[in-house]
Amino acid sequence: MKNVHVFFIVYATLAFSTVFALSLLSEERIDVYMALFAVEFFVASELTSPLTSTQQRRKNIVGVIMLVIFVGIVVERVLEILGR
Amino acid sequence: MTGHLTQSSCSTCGADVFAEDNFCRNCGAEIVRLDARRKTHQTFARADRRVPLGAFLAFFGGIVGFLSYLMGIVPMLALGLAAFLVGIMILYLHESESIPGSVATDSILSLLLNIENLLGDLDLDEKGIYIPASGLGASPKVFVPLALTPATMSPSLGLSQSHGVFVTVGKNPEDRGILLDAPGAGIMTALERSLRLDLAKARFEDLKVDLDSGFKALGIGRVVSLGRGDATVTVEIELTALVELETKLRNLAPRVSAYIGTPIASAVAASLSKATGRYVMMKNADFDLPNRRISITVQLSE
Repeated sequence: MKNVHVFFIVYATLAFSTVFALSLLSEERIDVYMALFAVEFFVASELTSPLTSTQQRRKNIVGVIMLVIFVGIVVERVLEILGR
Repeated sequence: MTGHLTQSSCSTCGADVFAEDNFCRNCGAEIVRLDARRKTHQTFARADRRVPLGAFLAFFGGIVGFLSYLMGIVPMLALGLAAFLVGIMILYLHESESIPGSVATDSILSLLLNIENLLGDLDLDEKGIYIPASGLGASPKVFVPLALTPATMSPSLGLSQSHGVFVTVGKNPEDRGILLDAPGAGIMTALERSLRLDLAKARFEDLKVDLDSGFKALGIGRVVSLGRGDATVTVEIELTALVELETKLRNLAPRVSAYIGTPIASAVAASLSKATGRYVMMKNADFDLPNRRISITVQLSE
């Protein structure tokens, strides 16, 4: 099985497991889900590297977007804590 | 033993074809069997399903996420978002093939048949010797000697920079041979590029893992085992691609397959030569077609 297929399976498993687990815990904040999706993306990437050069380049672009989203969520939380 | 073999005849030249052959040994015409054709359709169907799957997941995730957002149901919104993300990644990260595999195989085959004819015309019967090289992207060249002499068994390392085909490596008339780019040079370079690693700097102990990662990244196969004997190294690879090329070359270019190696075997020999910094001579490269495994044994020398 190619690395990219393993990546899809690993990431889908992690993401849907996260939704299932957090919904059982009655989590109502969407940013918690998003932050975990971002972390799971990097975990799945590391577990299934290397990819071909084209896939690696595209994955890096998605990684940057995920990182920006994750940093945004963290900054929002920090500002919320500091604002108190 | 002959009772197990069923013979038919080639529709192009009429020569006998055995049950295990995929190509006519006389004229090289491909013999398409019903089960192979079915397998091709299955592969095509599998490749086709990735795009609809990704599109379905993205569409489903988008609809569920949007409706959940309007209704304020956060877990369903998260489910829609997860499905959307997975679908987008399947569509975006999936790399479609730029050229059909059979066209690439046929292109490589015609080039290697030229080398087969060259070896036949020169009546060269010695195994090729891979000359170690260093530097990212630099691939070892393979020297096929006229005869095995002390000079031809250890040709000058400077031959890696030579552009000539007919080279002389010593004072005697037998110290001659032909210098070729390794058939697996492109694969070896692609391995280095995908691993971002100069194999000349790789440790032999890590080579199995490096080659395994590289072959998987290229979608060629995986390294099952890598063992080192006294002066030999044996590498076993399970192929997921290029099986057709391996089979064709063994039928149509037996000298290239045995003396220099098919592209996969040559890539492994070139990688070993570069990683060990030693001359590598192909001993054998057995191909187990039913299990899609190729077992490559090379001899190392100083």
